[in-house]
Amino acid sequence: MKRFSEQIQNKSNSLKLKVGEKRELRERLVSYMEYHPLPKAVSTKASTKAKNKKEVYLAGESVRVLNFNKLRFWQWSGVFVAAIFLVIPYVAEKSVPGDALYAVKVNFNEEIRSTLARSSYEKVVWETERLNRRIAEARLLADEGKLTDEMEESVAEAVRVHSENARNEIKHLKETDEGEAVLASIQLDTTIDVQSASLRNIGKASSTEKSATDKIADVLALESKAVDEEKSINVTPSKERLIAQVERETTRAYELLNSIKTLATEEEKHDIKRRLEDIDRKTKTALDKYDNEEESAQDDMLEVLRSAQKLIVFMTNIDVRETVTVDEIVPVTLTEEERVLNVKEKRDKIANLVSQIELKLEEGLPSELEGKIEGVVIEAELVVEDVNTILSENNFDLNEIESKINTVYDVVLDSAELIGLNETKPKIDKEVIPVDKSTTTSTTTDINTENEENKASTTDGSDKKIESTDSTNSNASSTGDNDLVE
Amino acid sequence: MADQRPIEDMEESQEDRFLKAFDEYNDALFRHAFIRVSNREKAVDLVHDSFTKVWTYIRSGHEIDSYRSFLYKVLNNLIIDEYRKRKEISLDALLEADGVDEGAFSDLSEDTVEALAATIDGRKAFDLLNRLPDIYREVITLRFVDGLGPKEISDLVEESENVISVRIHRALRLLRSEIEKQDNKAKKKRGGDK
Repeated sequence: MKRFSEQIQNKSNSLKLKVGEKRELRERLVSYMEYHPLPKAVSTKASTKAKNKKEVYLAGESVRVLNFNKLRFWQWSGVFVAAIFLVIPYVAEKSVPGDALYAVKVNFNEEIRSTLARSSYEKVVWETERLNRRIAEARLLADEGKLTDEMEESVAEAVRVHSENARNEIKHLKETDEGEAVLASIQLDTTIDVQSASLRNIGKASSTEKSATDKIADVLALESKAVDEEKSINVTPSKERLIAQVERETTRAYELLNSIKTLATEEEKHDIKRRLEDIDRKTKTALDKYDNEEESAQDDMLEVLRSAQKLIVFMTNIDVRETVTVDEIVPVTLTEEERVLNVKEKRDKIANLVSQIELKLEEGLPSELEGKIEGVVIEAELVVEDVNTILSENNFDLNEIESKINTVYDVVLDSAELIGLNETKPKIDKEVIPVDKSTTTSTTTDINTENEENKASTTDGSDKKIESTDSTNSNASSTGDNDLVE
Repeated sequence: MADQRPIEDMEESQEDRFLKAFDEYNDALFRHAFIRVSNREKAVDLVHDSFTKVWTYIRSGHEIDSYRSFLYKVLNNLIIDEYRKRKEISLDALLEADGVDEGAFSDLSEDTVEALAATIDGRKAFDLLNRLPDIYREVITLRFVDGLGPKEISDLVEESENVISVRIHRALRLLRSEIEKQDNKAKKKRGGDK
């Protein structure tokens, strides 16, 4: 058989693939392998499979893991870095005192943003924002009942530090650019004002017990005083800068109003819109005044800026909105039309009261009163007549008739009270401005405040045309605003 | 031992081992295929298909312990498929035609196979292999050309060793009768010439 096998094999050995066939076959196979590569898992699994020795297998596995890591080192380190520098700070942004990541928020996120604020003005803005954040955090904790004394103290301290930082920056700014310092100071001042008003309301709400945020309110009061003391007197920024700033702030306010559309109530939105319209109107009036009364116009503009900034603080802080009404922060400014209506209404009331007083006079009054009351009646009638005459003219000084009618109104009210006209009581110190139905709830205002407002927006009386309050923000949108709300 | 090689070597070895197997067995596989299908091009294709099938098997995560027997197994299956395509006569029909029943005791001994093989001229037998039905050609090729043992052949063909031995025995007998036939023909031819 051996011979048989050998013979067959010898014969068959001549059967071989030709060199060309072999090469072609190999090439076909290699390209097949390239088009159908081994999956990673298969190649590693198969290559490390040690059938007989488990230990060797384990050793192979660990080396393989190392090797795998070596291959993907950069990808993994990229992911790791991303986690550290993006994910953690992002999560930390939502932390409050007591959270593990709060330190990251305050010492990393906020410090980085501090270094990004290059100019002193930007630094003041940022420190003010941090101050807002601290107070918001304290409110959040207080709402949840988690604000311990210790925490409150640390928040109050943080508020003080941020305010002090801002004041220092303002001081620094004063040396180089006093105008800018004024703007920065308004930024800080308005924020402290709004936050104080809000915290005061919280304090009032919990009058029975000590409010959780009293300490913070105290610090704010002190800081507010300090800011006032450090204010530059008789220094105002240049006209152009002030106008630019007003424009920037109003743009931001309009953008904010858009962004909180879903968050704010209808009433809030309406009130804010009304204030923004007031601001637009006041700005226009002030701009008109620049030619004749520059100083007064500057003051008006600063006032406008304050109002705009207060509105911004109001809109950016949801907690503030919950505790304060817009009216407490930025009282409504009446349009000329409204003011005229107001005057007419008072005039009618005076006329009504005077006729009642005259009836009383006919009934007879104590002699010591009679003379005085008669004098008041005569004066009131004169003023009413006077006002009617003025109102019938085309050009009249609204401020003049307002001051006239207000003085007489007060005197007539006092007299009516004196002679016991009970129906006039309680003394009307608030009145409803008949603008339109929807505003009636929100536009109640104090006459005294109103007078102040009127003073602030004194007109020369020559232009009685009512400015359209439906102000579009076409000019404002042209300014590039970097301070968009988050 | 393969397991003690450095990891990098092992990682490469899947492809390397596969190509090494190709280099080592391509001729033998080709030879086997060629004897079985008697067509050079077809034989080359069968070898190629065997290797791609093995590669697909590896890709699906399987491990191959012995390339040699695995490759033979795949090739053999492909050849059987090829025969099926050709619709060659069935094994039973063959056996009936031969008038033998499988598994006769006297055919089972390896000694008898050897004794029988010793009486046959291998060179002549090789030339006449294509005259055998494939099931005989298969075992003869595996046994004498490829040099596989009865056990290996039995695993490959999926028949018991006894069946394989009987089949080889019969194949040899058939071969011998074919050789005899041819010898007789040649004799007659020479006698006729004279």
